[in-house]
Amino acid sequence: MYQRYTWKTGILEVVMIAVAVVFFVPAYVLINLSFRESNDPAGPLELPSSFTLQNYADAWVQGNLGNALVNSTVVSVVSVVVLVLLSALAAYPLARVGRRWSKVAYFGFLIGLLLPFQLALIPLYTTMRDLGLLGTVWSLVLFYIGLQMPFSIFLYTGFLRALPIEYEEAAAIDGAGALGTFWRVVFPLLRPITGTVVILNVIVVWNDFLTPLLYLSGSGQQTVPVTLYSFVGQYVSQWNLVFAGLVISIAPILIVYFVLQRTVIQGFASGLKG
Amino acid sequence: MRYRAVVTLAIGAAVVASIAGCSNDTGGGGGETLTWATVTSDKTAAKEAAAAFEAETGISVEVTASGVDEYQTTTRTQLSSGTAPDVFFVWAGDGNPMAMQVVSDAGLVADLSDMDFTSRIPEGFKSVSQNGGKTYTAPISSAGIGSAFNLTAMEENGWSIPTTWSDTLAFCGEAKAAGKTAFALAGATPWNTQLISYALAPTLVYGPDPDFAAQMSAGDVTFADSAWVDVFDKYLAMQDAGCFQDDALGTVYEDALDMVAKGEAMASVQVNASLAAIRQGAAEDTEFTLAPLPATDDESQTRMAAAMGAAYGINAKAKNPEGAKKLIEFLTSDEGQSVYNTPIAAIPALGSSTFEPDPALDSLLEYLESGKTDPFMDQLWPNAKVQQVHFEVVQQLLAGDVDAKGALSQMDAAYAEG
Amino acid sequence: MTTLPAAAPAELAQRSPTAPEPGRRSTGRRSGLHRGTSKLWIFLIPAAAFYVFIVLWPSIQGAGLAFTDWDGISPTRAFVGIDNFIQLANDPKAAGAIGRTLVIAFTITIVQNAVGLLLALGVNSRIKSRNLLRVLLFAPAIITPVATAYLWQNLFSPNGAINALLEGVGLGALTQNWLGDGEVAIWAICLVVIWQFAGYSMVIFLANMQGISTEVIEASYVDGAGPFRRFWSIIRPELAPSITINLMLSIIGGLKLFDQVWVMTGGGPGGSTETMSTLLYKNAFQFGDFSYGIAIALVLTVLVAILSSGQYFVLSRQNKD
Repeated sequence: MYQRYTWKTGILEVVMIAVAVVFFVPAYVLINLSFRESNDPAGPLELPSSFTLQNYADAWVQGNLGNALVNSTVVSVVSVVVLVLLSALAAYPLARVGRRWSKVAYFGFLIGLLLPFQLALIPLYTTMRDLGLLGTVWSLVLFYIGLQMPFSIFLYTGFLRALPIEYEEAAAIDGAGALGTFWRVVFPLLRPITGTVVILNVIVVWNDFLTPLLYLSGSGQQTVPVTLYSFVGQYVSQWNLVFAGLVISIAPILIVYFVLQRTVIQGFASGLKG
Repeated sequence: MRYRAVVTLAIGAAVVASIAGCSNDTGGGGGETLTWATVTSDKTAAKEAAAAFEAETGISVEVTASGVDEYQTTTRTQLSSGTAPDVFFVWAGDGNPMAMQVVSDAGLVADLSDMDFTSRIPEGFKSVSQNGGKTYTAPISSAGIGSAFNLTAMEENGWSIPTTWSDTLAFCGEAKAAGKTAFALAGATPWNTQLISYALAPTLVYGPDPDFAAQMSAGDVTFADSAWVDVFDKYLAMQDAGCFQDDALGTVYEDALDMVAKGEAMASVQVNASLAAIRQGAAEDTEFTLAPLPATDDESQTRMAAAMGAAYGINAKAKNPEGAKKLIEFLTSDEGQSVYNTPIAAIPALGSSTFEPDPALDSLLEYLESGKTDPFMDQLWPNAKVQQVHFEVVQQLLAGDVDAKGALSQMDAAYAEG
Repeated sequence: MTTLPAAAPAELAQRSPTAPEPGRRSTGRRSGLHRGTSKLWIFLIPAAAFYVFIVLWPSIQGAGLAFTDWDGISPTRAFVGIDNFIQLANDPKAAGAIGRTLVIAFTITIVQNAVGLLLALGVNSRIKSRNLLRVLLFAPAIITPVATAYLWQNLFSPNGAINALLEGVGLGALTQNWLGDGEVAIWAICLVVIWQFAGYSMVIFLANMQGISTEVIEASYVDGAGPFRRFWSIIRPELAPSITINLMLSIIGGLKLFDQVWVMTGGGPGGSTETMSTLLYKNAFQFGDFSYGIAIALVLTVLVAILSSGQYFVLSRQNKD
């Protein structure tokens, strides 16, 4: 291996852990508050004088989080899988073809990154109404696939342009068709960035608040953030409940990220070497 | 290859999950349903009222509650597309993007004039629930603004609630000297900044000059050349006398209430609904009351701000207009008024024989009965901007960036936009 | 539409002088990729369909509202030409908001990426805790901004954890009325955004670093290059794609910043943290002046387009030199 664990690495380790601790303070406060009773007099940095799991139980039941987790999972998984496949596919010609239409299309997609969401809010809502999709999770799936397409294409295209082209050329000489080359050669090479695309899209989709509130309102179905915030502002002290719910709701994403980043790292070298 | 396995797995999960998703979508069917939207502060009230209504009529109600900002955004979007809920929360009068005047001018709420409750609307609430002689919203709660005192903490310190302006300032000094805060102020929470103005203005502006709002809309008076200057000067005088905690502009609503709950602050000027929230954070047996905030040295002149709180309108394009009417009938009935207002410590707008008022609201009820109240000022302002500017200038005023006249002329400018 | 220069990040990476032939890269122009490259456009169709239908077309429809007097709910609206833009040009609040938006976007872009890059370098090493740290440092980015904003509002309160911590370590002089002082609040908001998204930048840098073939890095060790020279002349050129992506995303994110400001200060105290996004939101949904809000949104779009394409252009030229 190119780098051994030396005393310098040791210093780096200590520094990085110190930085991580500083970064972690607010998250610590969040977790700390989620385990205490609402009238606990201890400060946010002190350990709670009362320890309770009641907030978690209440958040789960009152927020109907079980049902909301299913909805959020459906929306996230379906939209992100479609996003990954379609945006990687689109990035391929955008990165590899130097013709004018390719550049125009690329910048056409990038415009999507610039637009504030308020512009499309009302016209899109009206369209969803006309399609009869309001109140169903499919309106959200459709929305996120479109919304996140520019971002995903942007990530994929940038990375694909930096990838060596020999493998594709070899495949082309082998006589593989364009789609075959993409699926068997290019897509596996995109593994590190695919992990990133997945996790960054999941965050957006999972956390969005206003769209599900608007699109699912009145249907009895909701996603995790909306049910969580249904007890914000009702009573002041329900923050302990909200934070408990928040911990429940971010845990799945943290796990996905952890698993992904490990496979991404292991996978790359072997992916390159075939 | 492991990578492909991951992709296959993901697609598999998507298929399974989407089947689960489909079966979810078909829920909520069967029987007649009605959709009802409200704001978070009234969520428990609406849920309980919906349950009672369902038990009585068999009509199931889907209640959606969201925070004020989100409520305004989503409901306006839905109204513009004709998909709004059957019954929805409407603010009294004007001065709010979802106020009665705004939605009735746009023809989005049904005319309720032929319903029975209209004859029971108190005189003071007529102007803020009617437009052009027609009734568009059903008043459900009354709300009031006063100083929410922690009586237990006051007794422990041997203090009593001040009833004149001079006593108030003196009390502030005493509290400060004892290391306590007299009035916790949530200066970082925009809507909270207006409450002290609203508590002082009835005594200083609207009591002495009952026609003030009418004169203003006729263009005869402005904020900057009226007794509103006294209101802002007294707001500042309270700050100078040490009534508020240090760094009041950095304190949010939750923290201000917490200070009162824990007895670090003796009081906070709040709406009555906040009492329930304060109690939640306090030790059991702690006693609270909502008292008027004096603005002069003549106690008999003191008035309170009290107004129509929650009110509901029926969507002009309601999917279930019959059910919606039944819900409004229920909410305006004796039973409905009580079921709705009990869980949120509010006061029935139309009265209810079965309602047992929260003892902490005694003075508010007394002021209401003796007619010594004036509506919240924004309900009579012509647009939502005046109120927003009010929030902003109070913060500037307390930070010393602007004086009372300067602050009020900014409000005049927003008022003039009409 | 603004045209971004077509230079691709890969071209820049290609120029890294010491890289021992990391493989020929291409934007395609010079590649004899497929006999049928011209047919590759078919691959764009599904993505483009979703994008046009969900984003582009509704946005164009929405943008049209800026030229009307629509209040947001009435069934009627009238065409008023460029009245809203004239109003905007004469609105001192809008001018202030534009200035603050630029300050925030600039600060966030620089600091967040610098921190993100350092973190990525740190956890891309041999340290034993790297897997755990990658998760911990990224964790803030996963929490919805609305929630982190509420959390920080609590931490920033006058008697909150930040001031308590400063007192505790003997830095009492540094305690602030973080969100209540107009001079400080804007920086406090930047701090929160940087805290939350430095890990996000880190992940993008990290994905790029993992794509650098180990041979490139090994060769630099053989050369005996020091850590700084190794970073500057070998790693940095390889990072061109992620630098471009990160800068672009943080500029756009900084300019459009809404949730954090809205929750923590609502634009206050006294308008001292009002940004274009909060101003547009207030007009569109609270003042009942939807069309004016949309006019602000259009100006914001143009601003974002100019600045993000500007950085793209500058960066690509710099890398070519």
